[in-house]
Amino acid sequence: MDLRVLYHPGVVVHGSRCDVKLPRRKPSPRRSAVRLVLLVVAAVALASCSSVLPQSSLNPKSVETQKIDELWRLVLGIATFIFVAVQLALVVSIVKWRSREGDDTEPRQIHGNTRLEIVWTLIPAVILAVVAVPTLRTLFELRAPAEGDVLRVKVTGHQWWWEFEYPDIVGPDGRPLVTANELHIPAGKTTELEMTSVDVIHSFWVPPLAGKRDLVPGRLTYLKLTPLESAAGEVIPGQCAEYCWLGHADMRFRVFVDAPADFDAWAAAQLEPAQVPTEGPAAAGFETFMGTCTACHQAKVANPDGTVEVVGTRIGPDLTHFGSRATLGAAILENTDEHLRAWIDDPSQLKAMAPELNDLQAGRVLGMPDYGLTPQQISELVALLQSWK
Amino acid sequence: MTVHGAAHHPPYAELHRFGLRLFIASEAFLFGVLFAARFYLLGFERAEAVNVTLGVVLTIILLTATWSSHRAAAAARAGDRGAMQGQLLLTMALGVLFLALVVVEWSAGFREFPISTPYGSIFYLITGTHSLHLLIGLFVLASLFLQARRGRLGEGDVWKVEGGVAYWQFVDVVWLFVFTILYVL
Amino acid sequence: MAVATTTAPTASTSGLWSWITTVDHKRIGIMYAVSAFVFFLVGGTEALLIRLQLATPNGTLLSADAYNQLFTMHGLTMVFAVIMPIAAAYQNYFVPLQIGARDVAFPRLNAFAFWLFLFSALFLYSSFVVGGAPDGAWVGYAPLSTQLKEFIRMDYYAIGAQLLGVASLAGSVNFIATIFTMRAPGMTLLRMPVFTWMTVVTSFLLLLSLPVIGVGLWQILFDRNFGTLFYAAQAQGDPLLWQHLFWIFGHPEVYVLILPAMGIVSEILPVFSRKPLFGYAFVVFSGIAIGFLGFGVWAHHMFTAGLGPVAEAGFGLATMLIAIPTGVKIFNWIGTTWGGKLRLTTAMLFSLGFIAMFVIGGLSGVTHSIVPADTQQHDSYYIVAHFHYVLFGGAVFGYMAGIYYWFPKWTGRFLDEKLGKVQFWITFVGFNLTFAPMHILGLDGMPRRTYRYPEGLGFEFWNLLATIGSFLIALGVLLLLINLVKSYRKGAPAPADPWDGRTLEWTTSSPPPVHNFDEIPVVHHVDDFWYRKYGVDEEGRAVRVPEVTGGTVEVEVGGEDHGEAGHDIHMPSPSYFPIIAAAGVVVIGAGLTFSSTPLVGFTLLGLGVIVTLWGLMGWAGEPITKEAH
Repeated sequence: MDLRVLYHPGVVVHGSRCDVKLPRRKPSPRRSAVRLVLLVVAAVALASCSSVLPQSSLNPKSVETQKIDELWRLVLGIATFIFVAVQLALVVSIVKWRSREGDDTEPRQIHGNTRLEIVWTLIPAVILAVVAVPTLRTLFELRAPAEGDVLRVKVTGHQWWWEFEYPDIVGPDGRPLVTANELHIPAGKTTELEMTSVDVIHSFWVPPLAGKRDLVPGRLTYLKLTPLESAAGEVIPGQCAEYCWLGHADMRFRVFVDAPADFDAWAAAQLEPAQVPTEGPAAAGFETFMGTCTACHQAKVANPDGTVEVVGTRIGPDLTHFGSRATLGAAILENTDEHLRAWIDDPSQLKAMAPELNDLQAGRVLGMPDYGLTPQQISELVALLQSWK
Repeated sequence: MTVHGAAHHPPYAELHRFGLRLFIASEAFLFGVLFAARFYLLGFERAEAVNVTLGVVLTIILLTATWSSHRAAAAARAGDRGAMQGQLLLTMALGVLFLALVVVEWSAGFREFPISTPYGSIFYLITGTHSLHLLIGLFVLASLFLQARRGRLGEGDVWKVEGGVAYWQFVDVVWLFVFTILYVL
Repeated sequence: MAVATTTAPTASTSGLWSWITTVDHKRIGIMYAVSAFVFFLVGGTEALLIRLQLATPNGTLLSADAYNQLFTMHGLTMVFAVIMPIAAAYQNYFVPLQIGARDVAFPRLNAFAFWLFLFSALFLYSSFVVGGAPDGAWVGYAPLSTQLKEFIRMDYYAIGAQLLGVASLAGSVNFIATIFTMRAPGMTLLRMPVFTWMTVVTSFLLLLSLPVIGVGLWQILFDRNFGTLFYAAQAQGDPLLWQHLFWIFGHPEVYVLILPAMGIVSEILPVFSRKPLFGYAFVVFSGIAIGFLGFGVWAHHMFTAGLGPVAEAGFGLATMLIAIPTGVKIFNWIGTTWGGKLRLTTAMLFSLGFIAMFVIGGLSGVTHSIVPADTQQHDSYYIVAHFHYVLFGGAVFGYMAGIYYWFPKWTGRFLDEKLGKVQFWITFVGFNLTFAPMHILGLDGMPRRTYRYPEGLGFEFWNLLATIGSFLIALGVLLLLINLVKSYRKGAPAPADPWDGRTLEWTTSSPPPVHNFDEIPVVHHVDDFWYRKYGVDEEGRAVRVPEVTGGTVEVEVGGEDHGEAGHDIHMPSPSYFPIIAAAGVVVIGAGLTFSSTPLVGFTLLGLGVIVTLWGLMGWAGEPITKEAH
């Protein structure tokens, strides 16, 4: 079983403009230099390809990142110009004025030139003033509170996973939609994230959709994202960008940009309770779930008698619709039976965590422990969880 | 010291006074940051249980000690070794009294606003840091006093007394700020 | 030509004891340099392990835990135990020589600062064998740094950084006092070499910024061990307070790392261009301006933390302003080479490389002031690329230039130039191969401080390239090490003035006598030494003055010449009290670290206080210059 952490683009982009093929390996070592150059060229060419660089900030897919990208390109252009000019001056100076054999003359002793000093103080000042205007304009636009028809999502950072709550999408029982590690948002509409953390500082970063924003315990921070309508159907990876200890590299998430109708359908499905199974391995799995998992996980379940109740504790991710998710372990693994079995068996094998340091009384949770379940119990749990679509 | 050296090396008094000023500037930043942290975290909030009367007593003690330390430096400049030792002793006694009262205050304070409260955190860190500096000042004064008693402080060593006293007075002035922001505001 | 390789005139000048008790700024400088170089090898090894881990996706060489310790220690080591002490090495050795002084203002404080630095750095490294090294990143962000109180790792961070800070503070007081009070006659402030000027600026930056981080580190220590709540969000504490305190220190600290290197480059370029520094006053004042502005831009490290758009706009604009004096410096350096006669020695190559690389680091720095764009760059590999261009392509290149430039003065021998040029090109190529790809990685969405990355995000190729580059850098460092060892033992002998220098350190023998100058020079110009050797003709070209007679100083002082004069000059006597006091302070620190186990903690604390008092009492009671032996 291959349990290496792998990112699979959730959706294949058809008709992609990114059909650059990497050069095939050739055994001849003589051509390695050529290959290196080709690789560099190919890699640079790939830089604009969303299917190859799904997490790149250079592929803006929201109104906000398009503004950022526009600003970035302006600054990059100016910086490149200055870079070339200064390096050229330096190289010309070195080539032109380097000492040559047999030339014994001494250079003229020039101490400076005040007019030149004023010029090269003013030129950068003017350039910066020019850059400052769009910078401030974009900054205030991006930081302005979202207005109009806005979808609100509360984001809570945990070591090392993400909780998403939709306070305005509420079921008949009054419970809002809660999910983990997979954020669904509608294309063409602004979503405003209201973010905080329960433990240490995290940072929400999904480069194609928004610049990063920290999740600071004790504070609320806000982030707007308005995916382009053309981005509908895309699955965009993101991850935590503020170092948060062991699981930092594996604190990932995915943003599903849905067409509005798809989003509504998804939300409606997510508000439904999970069915408590009455027979088969899943039923046995539910016994284990109630006996073990509910110590940290919550689920909204419909009992066979039709009553709906919320079981468990809201410490770890909500599992009501676990089976509908594409990933597990904070978006580090595809959600397959095999992966889930391995995860339940010993989570720390797949992701660096420190469950031995958990202190539920003090509210400190540093990963899911290995409960020592038997293979049969695990299979039953897998059957249960995957049935909760 | 030879002629070359003397022409070149500035008098130790001047040098050390300069170095001490730099050090005090750095220390002033240290306390400035502590005070800033107090307002950053708590604004003007203050625990009701702070013993203002005791704070006033502590302030009076340190102001007296400032005066006596000033007299000690003046006596050193005048070459009056006996008076200098007396004033140093008085200053140190006031310093020890101050620290003793801080201990009293803390033991009462720990019940009213423990260290694991927001105000307690600020209060004990600031007063503790100040007391630590006062303790260092006491050590400096004691070292001067002992050197004087053994006759090791000559005419050329007035700067040592002045330096020790300057540091002491700096710590006293810091207390005025500590008193203002922890007891009064 | 007389080659002065003899040692100083006093008796106890060799053997371990003489190094332990030395108060000679030159020996202290050498000890700083050697320590910094050893830590450079250690920190570099940590970097290679990091790069090996990241060479392929899902690297399995290191666990997340090991990786976290390594990158934290890599950062702490390179900042506090390599770049700061290597700068201190040059400052110690050359500032008194450049200002025509026999000594520093506080020789014993200087020795204390060195020993405290060394012991603190060793203390920090002792954590590897006592429960693991700090693993909260060099920025130690709260509340992560205060979260796990059962691990003592971040106590090592809080104490180790605090002690290193105290050492730097002591060094700064010494440098400022030395430069302000001990300059040779005629050496006005605006006749001082630029390196000395940058020492003034960095010393003030340290003097005023270290107390800020000091308070922050205290608060971390107290939150961890004594139940305070400074950074506890649930009880009126605020994690952002730490970020403010850290960066009010941290940003000036960046200039502390780079400004001395800028000073070195400003020394080397004129010497090997055979022209004065273009716009001396502008270079000096732009250095001062950078220092001042450095205190007003800290929040650009916090553009994603949610300070609000008004604060972000203000700090963004202030950050842009820094580009102006920085640009002035770069233009003046190029102006210095323009119209000169460039001798492309290794020192000159590293200086020119410094300019080229620093331009890149400076420009990527300006992109951080574009706040919206910075929200994409922040905490990504783009930042890693940026600050390595500033601190490696900038600072380290500058210090390497300094090694080749000043090694003859240190040892009386040249470094091997051929090997040096090979080293330069390997380092230059390796450096760019390592760090240029990181710009792309960051923009493509790779965050920093991640111990692994998955396949399929497009990170594979650039990471592999960076790893290959890092081993080229390692090869370059290895060549430098070989060159140092080889040349120290049998390099070509160097005269007093091997490069046709401009500043006073070249007027005395190589290596200088213990009292630096037989006669204190009298200064009439910037680059005074040059004007003793050269005049200008009607075209403004330099013309050698036929006989070196002007001034009071012999250009080349033979080893045998200074014997007579040397006996007349009373230098401060060796003292072992500084090392005792420094050891005591570090033991106090160790006691605080172990406060969770009171028996060990209090024992160490008590022992430390006693040893410190012993050191300080002895220090205070001991005359600075004992009677002649």
